Amino acid sequence: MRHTLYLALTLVALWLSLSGFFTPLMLAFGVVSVVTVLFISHQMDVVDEEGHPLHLRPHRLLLFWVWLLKKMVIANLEVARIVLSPSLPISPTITRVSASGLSEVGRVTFANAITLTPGSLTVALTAEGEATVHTLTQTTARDLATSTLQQRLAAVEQGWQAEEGD
Amino acid sequence: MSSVFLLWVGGAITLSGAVFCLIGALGLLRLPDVYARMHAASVVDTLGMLLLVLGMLVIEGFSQNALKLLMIAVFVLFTTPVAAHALSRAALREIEPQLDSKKQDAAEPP
Amino acid sequence: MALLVATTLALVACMVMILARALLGPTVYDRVMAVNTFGTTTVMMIAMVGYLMGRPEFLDIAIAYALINFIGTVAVLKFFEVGILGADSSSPSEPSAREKPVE
Repeated sequence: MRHTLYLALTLVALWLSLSGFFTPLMLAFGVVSVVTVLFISHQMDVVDEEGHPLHLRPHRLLLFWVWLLKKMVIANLEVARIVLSPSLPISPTITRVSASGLSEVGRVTFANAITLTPGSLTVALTAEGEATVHTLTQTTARDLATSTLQQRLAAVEQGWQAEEGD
Repeated sequence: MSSVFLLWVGGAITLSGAVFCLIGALGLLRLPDVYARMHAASVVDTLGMLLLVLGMLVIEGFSQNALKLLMIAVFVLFTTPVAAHALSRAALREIEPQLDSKKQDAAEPP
Repeated sequence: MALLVATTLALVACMVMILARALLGPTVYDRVMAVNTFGTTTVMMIAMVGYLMGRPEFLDIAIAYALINFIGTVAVLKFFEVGILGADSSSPSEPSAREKPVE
């Protein structure tokens, strides 16, 4: 029920921000759309913890995104340098990094954060949280091994174990 | 006056984003195998896209359209890694990645 | 305004290069990846053209394109992976590939 409420609020916010019309007719269309989407979502059985991870701490998530954005810019410049240098100094490597101690949403975020930074790409992720990562250079692979990504995500979802007891 | 200034600043930022898109596209052509190319593709999808959106945000200012631009950025940032992961996992079943074999042992953690 | 024209032209060049990769292949995954990236640049292109022509309503089309691009990529990949687009797809080669192992 809590998840349905959050989904409904999200959908209403999405409708209002995309529509921008506040006439009764348009608002009625919006209500019909939101109810339809809620009904379909329930039929598809996707209204759950996975769709709305409420255990994440918003201010920590914001900090995480800022940190990720910074990392992303640095990685972009690095890949741009590699592509532009005439000798193409790549040394593709496959490494394994662990995302243990995170919830399911946390592990997916972990894998996606790695994929989102150019130069590293998650090719596989096991249920135990071990990610197989393809990196463009060995330097990236070494940086990844000492990355604080897992600790930062653990900080974002601090206390989730108390709720779920996984 | 001020809006002309913002148009130039925004234009400069979008142009830098387009330059990053060009670099990514160049990487797409130059790099040797599908996994390496995916790194170049993610340059287009992250910094190129973000700079283009940022430039358009500067031109737009605060409005409903700014919200839509942010929404595009968030959609792309959330969907590209998922698509890239699906792609790499599908590719891994058929294509062996070209690894740097001569120095690989040194980098592999024990 | 000149900078916006330059940006749009650079995006066109970028799209041509990505399209070249899609045509060159060599594997189907290269093509799918190129088409996905092409989609991202198309989204940016639609938005840029909207600003160039002074019609920011194009942003709505850009949003729709961004979503369709993702769904299209995943649909094509699923088709190549399991050979069927429906939900009831017990794959002949690797049945439990898309489900996480359940104890």
